[in-house]
Formats: sequence, C-alpha cells, structure tokens
Amino acid sequence: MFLKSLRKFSLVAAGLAAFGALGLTTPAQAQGDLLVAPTRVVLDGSRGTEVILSNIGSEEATYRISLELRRMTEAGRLVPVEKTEANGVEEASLGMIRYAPRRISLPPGQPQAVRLAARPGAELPDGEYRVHMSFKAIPRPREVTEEQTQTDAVSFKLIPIYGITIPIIVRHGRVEAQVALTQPSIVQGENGPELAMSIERSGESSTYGVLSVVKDGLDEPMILAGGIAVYPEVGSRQVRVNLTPEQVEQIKGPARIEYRELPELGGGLIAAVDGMIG
Amino acid sequence: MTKIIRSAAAGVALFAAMGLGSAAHAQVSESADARAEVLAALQLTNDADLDFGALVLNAGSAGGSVTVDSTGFRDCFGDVICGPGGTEQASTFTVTGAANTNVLVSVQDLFTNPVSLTHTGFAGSPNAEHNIELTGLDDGSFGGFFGFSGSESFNVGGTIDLDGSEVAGTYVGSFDVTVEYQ
Repeated sequence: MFLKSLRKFSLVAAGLAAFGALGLTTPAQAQGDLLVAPTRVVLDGSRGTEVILSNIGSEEATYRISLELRRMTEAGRLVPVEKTEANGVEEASLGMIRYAPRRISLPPGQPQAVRLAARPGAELPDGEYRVHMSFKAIPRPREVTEEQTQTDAVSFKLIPIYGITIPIIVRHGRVEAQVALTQPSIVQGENGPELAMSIERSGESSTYGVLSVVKDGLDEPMILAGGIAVYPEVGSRQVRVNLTPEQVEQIKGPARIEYRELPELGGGLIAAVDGMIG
Repeated sequence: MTKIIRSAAAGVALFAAMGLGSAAHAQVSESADARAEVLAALQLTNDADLDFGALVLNAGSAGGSVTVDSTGFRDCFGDVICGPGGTEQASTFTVTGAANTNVLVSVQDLFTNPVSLTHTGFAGSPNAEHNIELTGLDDGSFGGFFGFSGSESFNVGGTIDLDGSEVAGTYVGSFDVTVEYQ
C-alpha cells in the first residue's frame, strides 16, 4: 500500500502577500502498515501460542508490542483503562501473560511470530483474565529536509501512530457463563430501521459468537452480526443491527434469534429467544 | 432461554497451524494428509495523511483554529485564514479482515492524553510560541463497524489551535488511531 507523506500546511506569516501561502510537499513515506493474525486468542492451560505480525507497508518499520487494558460497556464499546486504575483481575491479567519479542523491526512483506503464553500463579482464583495486545508502529525520526528548514513558513506534521489490538483471553480453572437474549424489536435508528435487543450474561466467562435469525420462509439463517463478544465485566450488552427494508419484511412476525459460537468452533448454541418481531 | 457454556471445552485447539490470511492450500497426497488452518487476519493501512492545506496568519494575530473534518471539509476560525484550497484532506485508513465481524475504531482521547505539536528546533519546549495544540480529532467511522463488510475505509479529521505567537518552522505531533477486535 502506498501512502502519502505527512505533509501538513504551510502558514505564511504577515508581511508576505496575503495569498502567497505555500503548499509544501515532502517525499512519500510509507511506514507502519500492518497485518495481525489471528484476531483473537483464547488460552487455557499452559500451552502457549503465536500471533503473526507482518509488515504490509512499503518501507521497513519497527513495531512495539504491548499489553493494554480495556473494559466493555453495555453498548459494546471497549474503553481503555490506565494501568494505574487497574482492578485486581486486570492486574493479575497483566502479570500472567509472557510474550516476546516486544519490539520487532521488519522489512516490507516480512512476517514474524510473537510467542505468548499464560503463567497464572498457583493461588489465582478460577476465572477469566484478559488483556488486549497492541501492535503499533513506532514512528521513525524524520530527516529535516531543505523545505522544512525554510524560515518564512510554518509547516505541520501530524503523524498518525496507528495499530491493532486483539484480545488475549486466559481461562483459568472452571469458568462458566449463563446467557439469555431479550425480546428483539425493530426500532428506527439514525440510519434506518434497526433490530434492537440485548444479550444478558452472568458468570465468570465471556461469550463470543454470531447472532442470526431463523424462521419459516428463510432457507438459511439470516446472519445479523458476527463476532459479538460479551465480556465478564458487563452483565448485559445491547445489540443494534442495521436492517435493509427487505430484511425488515423478512424478519417480521414469529421468529427465533440465535446466538451461536463461531462455525469453526463447532457453532454450538449459546442462547436463543423465540418471539414476535415487529 | 438460557444455556450454560462450559468454557473449558470451548476455545481450545484454536491454532492447529499457522497461516496468514490468504487462501488455504490444503495439500492432499496418497500417503499423507496435510492440514492447514486459515487464521482470520486483520490489517490496517494508512492511505492518506491529515493535511490542513495552506493557511495565512495575520500580523498581530490573536490566533485562531483550523479544522479539517472527516469528510475533508476545511474551516478556519479567528485570525487564521484558509489559503487556497485543494490540498487539504483528512487522513484515510483502510481496515481489512473477516467479514461479518465487529471491528471497533478508537482515536486518541485528547482530554486524557492531550497532543501538542512542537517546533522541531525546540523539542521539549513548553513555551507557547513553540507549541500548537491539537484540540480535536474527528473519527469518520463513528467508533467502528458493527457489521464489518470485510474491507472498510475511514477518515480521521482534526482541529489545531494557534495562538498567533508561533515562530516559523516545522511543528511535529502525533496521534493514535487504533483498530480493535473484540
């Protein structure tokens, strides 16, 4: 992927002609594009795993791999939590994850594995522990070019530091979750009709799966949303799915909403609700 | 309806084999079976950078601000005058991954982690004439993609405040954009 460089604006101080403003151009610098796989890791037991980081940019880049904390909100957002504000479970989560390397320099097109494993302490209570692993390029110091040293203008460089986080979930001991779905309804959202419902969860474990609609007249389940996680810190997660007018017509009436595990993990039913949608 | 999940059974053996997110090549011969599991991958590229275009600052300026929103529309306030247009643009990112998932986007929270663009010749200087504040970031994805299509582009715009005292030179700052998988 080709990226344009970070060229901001030139600002001409007073004394120059009013519209003598300059637009500066600097050479293209493609740095920091990345690929991460897999996008979700569940560890149980002492066996570790690997996550692949690949430089898909056009220049060499150095990436920093770090552990961060997030808390889910009822709306399904992930809110960052500073390490100084971590609760006991979050501190234990940060403490048990071992990973290496923490810094990787990669030429374009080159992948590398990051090894990781969980080492929960012997005294640790059963439960689910989670961190979010962050992969971010470290901006390289930039050379000062001739353009940048000219004295009659102000130019700006706003460098995006961009990256990906994936959840690393450790299930320690016996963990369970009880899940129920609330009655869905069709509501008018900002971008048209939406199916609104919530997933109620209790217990120590998170759940992750696909929401779909099953009803007579539909040959196959209609996938509403995939990759819906409900983490232990929330007991209820709202779900709102945009629907096309055709989907509204298809869904209306008696139907069954199912929350299932991902097909590649067996597709087991987590929870379902039967009801009249309309 | 409720069901109990025993997670000890779920979620193991996720990673029988490593492969990047390209097509699987399952090789089968008469003497042996080969197995490959394709892992879902997520990738993020930066396709365009935030550019405020050309600006004009009056003599004796009391300062002002310039905004480029996530649609690329620019507006100038106070004593900052927008110069000839055409080069201003929002930064653009493309995220690619498995369709039908839930991909969140977050930009740096400037309230808890403020960003200042600092003159390259005065790195670390706290003085107003060497610093320009980034006061806003405009996330065009509105937090991400609930029904992720498999590939989406989004823009991030921004606002900077100038107080009129800035000395000439290059100012550098950075902001975080994170794509989060849950």
